[in-house]
Amino acid sequence: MSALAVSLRVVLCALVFVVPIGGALGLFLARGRGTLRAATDALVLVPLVLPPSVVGYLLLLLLGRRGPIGAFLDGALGVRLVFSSAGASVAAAVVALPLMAKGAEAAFARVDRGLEEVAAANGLSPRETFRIVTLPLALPGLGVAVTLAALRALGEFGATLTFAGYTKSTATAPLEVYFAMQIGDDARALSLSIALVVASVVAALLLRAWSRKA
Amino acid sequence: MSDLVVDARATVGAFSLDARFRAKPGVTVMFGPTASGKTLTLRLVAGVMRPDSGSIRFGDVAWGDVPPHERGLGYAPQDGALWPHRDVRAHLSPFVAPERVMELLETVGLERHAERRPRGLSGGERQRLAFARALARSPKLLLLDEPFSALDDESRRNMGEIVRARAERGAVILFVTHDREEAERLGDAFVLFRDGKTEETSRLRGDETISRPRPEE
Repeated sequence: MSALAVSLRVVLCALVFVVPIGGALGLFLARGRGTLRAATDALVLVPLVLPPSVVGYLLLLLLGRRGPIGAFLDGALGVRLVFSSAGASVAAAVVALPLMAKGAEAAFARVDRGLEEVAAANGLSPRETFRIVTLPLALPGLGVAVTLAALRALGEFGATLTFAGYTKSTATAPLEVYFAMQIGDDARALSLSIALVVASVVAALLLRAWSRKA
Repeated sequence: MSDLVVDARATVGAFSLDARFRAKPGVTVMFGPTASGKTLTLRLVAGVMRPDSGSIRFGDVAWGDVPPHERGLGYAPQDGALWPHRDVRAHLSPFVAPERVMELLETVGLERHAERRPRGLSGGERQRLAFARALARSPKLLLLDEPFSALDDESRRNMGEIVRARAERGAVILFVTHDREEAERLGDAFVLFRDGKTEETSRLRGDETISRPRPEE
């Protein structure tokens, strides 16, 4: 599989987890109160500010074959994350989650509470209010959050290398650029770099469009 | 018949409200200067804000722990609080069956604007839409916060007749207005607001302090 295809697969798999979990965290950050919210607010940023190699190392300790969760996954389900594309997705998801959560928080916080209150006061349940008022009004901001998270997942290098390693199925585009350069394959490093630049520019334009709507 | 009994205290910033009154089925007009506690009282009754102390009862039910959507209300807040992403029809479709939507729009004279978004409506049209949304589920308790301030005299009267018709059918209606003529035309009873205090009266004396309605944007 080409490096870009590996990257695409890793990013999409990561987003499957990042979007709902980060979206829910963002909603809680925007609307929750108290110490649990304060603690979440502080902790959610940790994967973003830690050096990626540390994130990768901690993931290895937890999810590696001898880690508490990794041993269970291996023993009970036969799932091994290290040296697998799933492991690369886990690493990408962990570093992308803070951007999704904080972006979603901003998106939900921007929704006028008065528009939700009038829905509730006229008889719509919290679930209906969320579906009819909150979610559609937060959607452009959520688009920004998803795009940022996807870009962070796409660019992920350090945690992926430390945790998932460099194998055929974990060789995402950023990893390939690095190793192609190491062995002197400049043509490959350059072509992948150009592809990543193009993808980033497209995403940045998309981001601009979403931001204008938000 | 269910009465609404309000006996509630609340503080917002430097303003404190001490609202005590009973509203029977019919139109209770809430009258008084700007920033005297009328809107805050409606928010407490709607349940989108909690009183610091006291209670609000409707019929036999104490509303302390009843969430807004289970109170069976219709609420048209002062600014309309229309949903910018939904057209006129979609402001009513969550509440009533599709055939009732057009009927309601005809009642308030918006049937030709069903596909428009709030942005494309005039101030008066926005108010009529907020009013229609509050009427949609035929609530037993209607909270109307200066609902017709941007309407011309004729549609103001027409809308007023709808309010009266709901009152005759037994709804309890809290109606905020700054217009003395409208207050006297619609009101069965009055609650005068002044500096966060309330006073019940069966008729306006004519010397109550009021302020001009806010100019339309």
